[in-house]
Amino acid sequence: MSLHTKSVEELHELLVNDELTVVELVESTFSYIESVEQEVGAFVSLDKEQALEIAREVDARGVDADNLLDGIPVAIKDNIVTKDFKTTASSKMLENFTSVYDATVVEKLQQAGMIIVGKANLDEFAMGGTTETAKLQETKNPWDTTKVPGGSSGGSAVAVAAGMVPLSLGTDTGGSIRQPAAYTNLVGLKPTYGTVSRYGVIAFASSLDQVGPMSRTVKDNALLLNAISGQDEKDGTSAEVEMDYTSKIGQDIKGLKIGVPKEFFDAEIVSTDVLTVVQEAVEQLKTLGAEIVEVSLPNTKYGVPAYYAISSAEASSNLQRFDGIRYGYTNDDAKSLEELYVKSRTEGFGSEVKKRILLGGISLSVDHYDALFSQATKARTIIREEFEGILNEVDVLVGPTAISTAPNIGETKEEDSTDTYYGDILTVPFNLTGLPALNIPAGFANDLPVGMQIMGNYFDEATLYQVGYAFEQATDYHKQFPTIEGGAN
Amino acid sequence: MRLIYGIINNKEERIGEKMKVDEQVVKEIGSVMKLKFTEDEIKEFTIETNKTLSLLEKLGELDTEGVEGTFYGTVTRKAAFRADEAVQNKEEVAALLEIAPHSVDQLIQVPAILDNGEGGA
Repeated sequence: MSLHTKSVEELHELLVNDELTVVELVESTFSYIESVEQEVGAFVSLDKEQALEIAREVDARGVDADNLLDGIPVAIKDNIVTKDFKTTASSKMLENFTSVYDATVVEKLQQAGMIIVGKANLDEFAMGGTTETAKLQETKNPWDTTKVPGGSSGGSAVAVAAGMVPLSLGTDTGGSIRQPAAYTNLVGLKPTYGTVSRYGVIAFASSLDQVGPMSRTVKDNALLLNAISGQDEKDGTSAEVEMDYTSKIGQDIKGLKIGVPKEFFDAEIVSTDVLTVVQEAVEQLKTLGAEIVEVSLPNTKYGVPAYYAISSAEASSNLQRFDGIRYGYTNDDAKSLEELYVKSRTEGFGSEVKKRILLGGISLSVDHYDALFSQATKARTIIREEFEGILNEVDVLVGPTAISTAPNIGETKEEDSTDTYYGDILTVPFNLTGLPALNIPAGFANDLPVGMQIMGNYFDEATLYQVGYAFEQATDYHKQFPTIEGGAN
Repeated sequence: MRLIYGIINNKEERIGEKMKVDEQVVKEIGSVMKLKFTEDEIKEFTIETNKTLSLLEKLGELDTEGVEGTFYGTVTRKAAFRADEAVQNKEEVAALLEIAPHSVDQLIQVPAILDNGEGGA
């Protein structure tokens, strides 16, 4: 029985009908991972014995027929702390670090009966859009292993896209869930800021970071969001909101007003092949009965500069905690406290992280504060008000997620860094505004996946899932899987 | 709130003006950030940072007169609060000492602070 292409619902059916035990599912999961991991490098760490031990416990008590996630394997991005695995952020700084506590989202997965199989690779400290800044693993796109998987949640994306696990958790500070989801044919959600607790997530930019689910289908995604969301007294920014995110799945989208921002379809920014696919997807939504209206969000272009001024500033502050003293990498030869700080940080951090810390320092320095950090926070207000205004007129917005399909490995390193940063132009506005945005598979260009972004109002993820599900049911893109060497079983 | 990491130069940049840093600024900000760059890194980071700053200059086009900054992730619902009570979890404290690179008794050990480590503290 081939399990690696099944949805959570299908696996649950097999488990509750005694056609499959959780131990068999976990055995099959690891056997499949062993056959494909060498090709794609999704994980920084894996623990089969521990997963089997939990699987035996779930089998012994019996799978809860009312809990679709019970006994289901899941992968977690390696910037979310766990007691049972090292948490490395794919950095030399944390190469041997094991947290003394679990992140709130990890506790929630465990309470839901899910089985954490391993920690997924990422750009170092989640800084990057290709997973190439990762220091501990090289991750490749299963659709074409000469291509990047996207990032920073590249490992989380590949673990699901390659069929190793049906679900994973990523984090999204500027597009780090949605863009790799677009590059690998997945559903990936950046929830409304505050929906999911950030407690135990290694902070990159605290006012932008959110944890979110990655899956092959819309419903699986909503199920995982149900499990990880909710207010947490350990994260003051987590919001008081209780809802069933699957509640609108299956409702038709007739009459729903969908805004198409013309700036998201600018041929000078987005490649023609991506535009063609997403334009066809918009036509599909129209066929399904949605009312399509063109809207304009002219300040979108200020999103990238505002994002880099703010996220680097926050990162430079957040990463001060890595000082070589309490945990993580330390330089043992340092003769003074100052030398300990400098040598530990200089040797522990990689180049991209250093560049962001430097930029953050400049953004906050007295010479540049007005023109950079302060001006960026005001741009953020202007962008937020513009998006809020449009979302009073339409139910959701749609557009491409990424400006191209997955680039070649090494390609973006050769590009001007400013070009690379501009790759985030379609995703960062939703981190700056806090609004939710969902990537869904929209089709293929040159045999590579293309993603469509569905964006909505605060805490209205249910409507994003409603639109995503309607599109998914009318198409079969989500049913297509990459062919991976060694993964034919 | 204005002076975050110290004065680098004595002039303030005005919004919309050309933004540029030189190798000395890169070195100094690196030092404030407790990072020491090699000569090659200083050259590379100066070039890279100036390219990024040229992208960030775009912010100067925006008229932000009278606009309040947004400093936080948007929370439109009630924030999470907990009782302001000290919590001491002895197991966690022991585990934290266990993962510290150097510890003595119940304390984390660091090199000498006052004399640059040359004469013993």
